[in-house]
Amino acid sequence: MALTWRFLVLTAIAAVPIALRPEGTTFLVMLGVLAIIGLLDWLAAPGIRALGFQRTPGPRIRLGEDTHAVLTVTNSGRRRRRLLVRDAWAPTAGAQDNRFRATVRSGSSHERTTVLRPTRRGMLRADRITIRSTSWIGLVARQRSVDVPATITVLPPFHSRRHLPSKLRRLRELEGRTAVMLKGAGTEFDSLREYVRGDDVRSIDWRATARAQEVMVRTYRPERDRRVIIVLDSSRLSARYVGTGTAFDAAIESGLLLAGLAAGAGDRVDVLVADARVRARVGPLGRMASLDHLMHRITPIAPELLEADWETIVSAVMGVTSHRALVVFVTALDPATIAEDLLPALPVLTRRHMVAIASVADPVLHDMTSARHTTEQVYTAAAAERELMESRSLIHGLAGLGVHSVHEAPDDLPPALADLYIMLKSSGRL
Amino acid sequence: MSAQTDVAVRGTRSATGPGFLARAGGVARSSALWVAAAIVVLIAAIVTVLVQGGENTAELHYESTEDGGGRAFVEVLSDHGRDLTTTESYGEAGAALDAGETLVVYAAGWTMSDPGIEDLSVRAAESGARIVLIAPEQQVEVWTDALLYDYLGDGSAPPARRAPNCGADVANTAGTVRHEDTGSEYFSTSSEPEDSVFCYGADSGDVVPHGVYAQVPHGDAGGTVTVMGSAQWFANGTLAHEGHMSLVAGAVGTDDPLTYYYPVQSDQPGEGDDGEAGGAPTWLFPAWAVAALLWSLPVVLVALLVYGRRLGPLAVEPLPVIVPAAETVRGRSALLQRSQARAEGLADLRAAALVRIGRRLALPPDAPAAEVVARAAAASGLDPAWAEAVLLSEHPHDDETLIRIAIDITTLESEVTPP
Repeated sequence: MALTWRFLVLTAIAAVPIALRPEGTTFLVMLGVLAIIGLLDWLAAPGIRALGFQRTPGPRIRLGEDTHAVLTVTNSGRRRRRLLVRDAWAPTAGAQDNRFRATVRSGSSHERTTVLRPTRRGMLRADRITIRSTSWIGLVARQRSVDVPATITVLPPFHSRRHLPSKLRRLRELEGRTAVMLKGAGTEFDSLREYVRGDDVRSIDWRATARAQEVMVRTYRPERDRRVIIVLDSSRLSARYVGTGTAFDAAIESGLLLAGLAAGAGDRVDVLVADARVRARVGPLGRMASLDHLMHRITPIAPELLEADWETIVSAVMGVTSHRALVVFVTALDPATIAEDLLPALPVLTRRHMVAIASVADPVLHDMTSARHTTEQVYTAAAAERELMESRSLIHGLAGLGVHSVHEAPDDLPPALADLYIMLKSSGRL
Repeated sequence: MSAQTDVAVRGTRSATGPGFLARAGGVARSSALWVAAAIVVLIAAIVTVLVQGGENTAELHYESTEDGGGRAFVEVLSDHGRDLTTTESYGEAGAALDAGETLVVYAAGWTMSDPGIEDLSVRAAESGARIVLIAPEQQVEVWTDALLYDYLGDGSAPPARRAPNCGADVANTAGTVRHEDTGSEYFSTSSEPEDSVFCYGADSGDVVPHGVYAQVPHGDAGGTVTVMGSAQWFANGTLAHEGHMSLVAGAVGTDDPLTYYYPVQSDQPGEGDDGEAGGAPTWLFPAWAVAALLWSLPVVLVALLVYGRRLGPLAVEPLPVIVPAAETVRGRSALLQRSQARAEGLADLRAAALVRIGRRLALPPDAPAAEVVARAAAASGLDPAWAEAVLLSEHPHDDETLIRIAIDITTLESEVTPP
C-alpha cells in the first residue's frame, strides 16, 4: 500500500470543510472520510498477481560500453493496469532512468528497455522489480516487489588489446613472414638457402654447402608449440587500488594481452587464477582460440582478502604440463610474501620451467619521493624511497635466481610483459 | 556457451490461475476482506458521531441530553414562551447583566475566576439585574456579601426531602424538593436580613436564617441574587421530580429576556487582567484559522507517508574488496615521524640518491659510497665537501636540518649529469 500525491491533495482540500465548520466532529468525520476513500481506492486498484514479468539481458559487453535489458510486463488479468514500475539493478550495473509508468491493457504486454552503464567488471545481477498499481483515480496504490533473476556479463575492458597488433607484427617479423628482413635467432630449424652478404657466417651449413657447391646458410625461426602458463594472483595484495583500478585489473589486462600474443604466436597458453585455492583454470588456448572464453571465465573473479597459498599454486602449475614452459606470475612484489612463500617453491619451478614475475608498480610512490618541503613530506619521501629500493633489490635478487621480472605502472605493465615474452621468444630461450 | 548463458540468466515470473479452493482461501486471507471490514467500521463510527452531533455532555450544559444535562429546563422554559438565550461567553453574560436582564449562572465547579465573579456582581448591582446562581457553594461569598456557605454543624445527615419551611410563594408553590447533599447550607450574614428569603433549610435551631434556596437583594437598583442550592433541580433526569420545575420557573422569575450562562475557563478574566475577556493566545485567531492549522498535522502526516514510501527496497550488492594503495608506505612514514627517526629517514633518502647517481654515472653497483660522492661532485662541479656533507656525513639535528638536507639531495642529484 502506498499513498500518492493525489491523496495528499485530497487531504489538503479537506481543510476547507474544517475551516468552514471548525469543530472536533468535523475533524473526526474528515479523517474517517479520508480513510474510507483511501481504502475504497485501494480496493479498486487492480492486484499485481496477474502480471507476468520477463527480463531479457542484453549482450555481454566490455567494461566501459553500454548494454541494456528488456523488461516485458504481461497483463494476464481482466482489467487494465496503470503501473509505476521500478526496474532495479545492482548499483554498479548503472541502470539509467529505470522508473517508468505504463498502462497495460488486458491480455497485452509492455516492453521497456533499460540502458545499463556498468561501472565495474563482473556478473552484475538484477535486483527486484517493484510495481505500483493504481485505479483510474490513483489515490492509493498497491505495491509489490518481485524477484526476476537476470544477470549481465561485463567483461574486463582489455584496453591493452590496442598493443596486440603491433606486438603480433613484431613476432611475425621475427618469424620472417613479412617482407622485412629481420630474422630472429630462433633455435628451431626452418630452411636452407643460399648465402647472401650480411648473413651471419656462423649460420653457414657446411655440409649443405659441400653438397650444393654453393654456400648455404641455415635459417631458424622461433620455436612453436611451447607452453606458456600465466598465473594471476587474486589474493589480498591484488585488491590494492593502484592508478585507476585494482592491481588485479592490471593483472587481467597483462594476462589477456600475453595470452592473446602467445596464442597468436602459436604457443599454447594456460591461465590460472588462484589465491588460497585455484579459482579458475583455462586452457590450453591454441592459435585459433578466442580470448572470449578466457575473459568470460575471469569476469566474475574478484580479489579476496586471503593470503596466497603458493604451495597450492606451484603444484597446480606443475600439474598443467610436464614440458618446459614459460611460467608468468602476475602478482605483487611484496618482499615478505616473495621471500617466505614463493622463494622456497622457486627451485622446483626453475629446474623445469622458465619463470617470470610481473608486478604492478604504484605510480604514486614516485610522486611521493619528489615532494620534500615539510617534515611529513620528507618522511613520506623516505618511506617511498625505501619501498622502491626494496622492490629493486628484490628484482635483482630474483634475476640472480634466473627469474625475469617486470615491474611497471598499471598502464605500462601489459606491453612490458609482452616485450619480455617477445625478447625471450626471439632469443630462443622459451 | 553463450546461448546457454542467455537462457540461464533470463528471468521470468508469471502468474497462473489458481483453483476455486485456493481462491476462496486467498479471499479469506487477502487484505481486501479486512479492508472492507475496516470501511464498514469507519462508516459506523462516522454515523455515530454525526447522530450524536457532538453535543457538550458536561453537567447541566444546555446542550447535554444526558441525565445530568441541562437541556430539558432550557427547552421547557423556551416552550413556555420565555425568551431564553444560552451562552458560554463571559462577554455576552456581562452584556446581559448590563442590559438588566436576568442571568442564570451555572456557578458550581469553581469554573469562574474570582475577578470574573466580582465584575459580574458589580455590573448586576449597578443595572439592577437579577442573578440566579446554581450551586455556587463557597463562591457565593464572592457573588454577594449577604450570603455565606457553611456547615450546619449538628452532625446528623439532613433529610433528602425538604419541605419549603418558609413563607415564600415560590417555595410554597413548588412544595417539597429533593436535596441530597452534605450538611452545608447558605446562611445569611446578618441575623435579621431585610427582603431576604431562605427556604428548604434543615431544622437546626440556628438563629441565623439559612436554607438551600436563598434570595437576597443585590445593589441599590433593585436587583437580587437567588441561590439554587442543588444542581439536581435543573438536571434533565430529575427536573420532573417533586416540585423542581416549579421551583426553577419561580426562581428565574417572569422577566424577559432570560440568559443562561454556562461559564468556561478559557475566557475568564484573570487576577491581573483589566477585566476584558482574555485567555490562551489561540483565541486571538479566528476559529477557522486555528482549525485549519490543526488540520495541517494530518496533512503533514500524509505528506510523510506519500514521500517517505520508497518504490521498492534499496538495491544492494556485495562489492569486491579494495585496499587503499600505498597504505604501508604511509604507515611507515607516520611511524618514522612519530618516533622522530630523522637519521633513519635520511639514510633511506641518501641511499636511494646514491644508487641513482651511481647508475647515472655508470659506476659498478659495488662502488663505495665515498667514491660515488666524489664522482658526483666532480660531474656536477659542486663543492666536494658540501656534497659529502649532504650525501654522507651531516647529521640532522632537527626537522629543519632534515628538510634542508632532503632538498639539497634533490638539488645535487639534479646537477649530476652523465659524463
